[in-house]
Amino acid sequence: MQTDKLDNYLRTYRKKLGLTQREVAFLLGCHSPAKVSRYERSGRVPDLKTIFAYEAIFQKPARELFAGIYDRAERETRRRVRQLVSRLKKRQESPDLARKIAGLRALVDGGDEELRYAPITDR
Amino acid sequence: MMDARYRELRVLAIDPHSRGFGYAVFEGPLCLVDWGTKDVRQDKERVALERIGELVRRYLPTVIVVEDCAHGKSRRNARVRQLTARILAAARESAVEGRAVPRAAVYRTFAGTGAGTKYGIATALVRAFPELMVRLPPPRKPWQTEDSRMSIFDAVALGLTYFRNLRRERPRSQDNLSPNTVRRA
Repeated sequence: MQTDKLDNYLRTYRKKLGLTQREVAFLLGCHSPAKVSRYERSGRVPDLKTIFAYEAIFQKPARELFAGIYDRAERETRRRVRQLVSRLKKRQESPDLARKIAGLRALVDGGDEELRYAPITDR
Repeated sequence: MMDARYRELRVLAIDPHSRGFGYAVFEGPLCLVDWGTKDVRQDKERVALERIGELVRRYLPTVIVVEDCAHGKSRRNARVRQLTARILAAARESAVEGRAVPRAAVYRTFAGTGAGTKYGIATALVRAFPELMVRLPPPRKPWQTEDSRMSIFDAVALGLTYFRNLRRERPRSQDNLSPNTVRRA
């Protein structure tokens, strides 16, 4: 039984380091630990600068810290990629279009694995 | 080898005691997501159930694990027994699977580590999860009451015992994993 990931694991990593919310607030440059609490309870989504600060503190990539949000974004992106491929297929065939479709298919062919980016090749 | 379906199963283990409860949240037996204690001083049953409800809403567990207080050898007091029964009933109402694990099963799980006491189990858990080190109280003297932090370790031990028993069970069909079931481990 696969369980959906939690929106974020900020609390887990903070506790693993033995830090308090007040200490993390200081490290993030916030005035109040209440903001850290809201981030941890998913009551508020941190801005990009704060996400990078979290990465620096916990030494974990954002996709692990915000695993649930990442998973949802990945699933939605895959769905849109499939939609785009089916739209593109209706257009008149050309080498450029074929290359584009192949590139997009490579993104979703990973099945349940993570989103894969096709290597950029010389034209 | 554990069934892949259970590897990331989210489990909330709860250990109620006279002054509140300890809890531990797992995603599979190797990933401890959260742990801690909640103090409850007044209107204990209602407040404890509210706090447990908050944890359930936050972590959306698949399974809630508690100690099997209905077990003949359980030495838990009447209020804790009643609270445990109500936790299982609340789990059933929330379509979450409830599991009651007897204390003896917990000791069997940790028998291999040489831990024969609650404190022995707690130190074995600290070896497995070093992040729990800061919550480990000093050994209790005979004249002292138990430190409430010990309930964190009891909850973690309950969770791990649940996973160990899963591993021993034969793989079950999805139907058997349906919610609204309360099982004795």
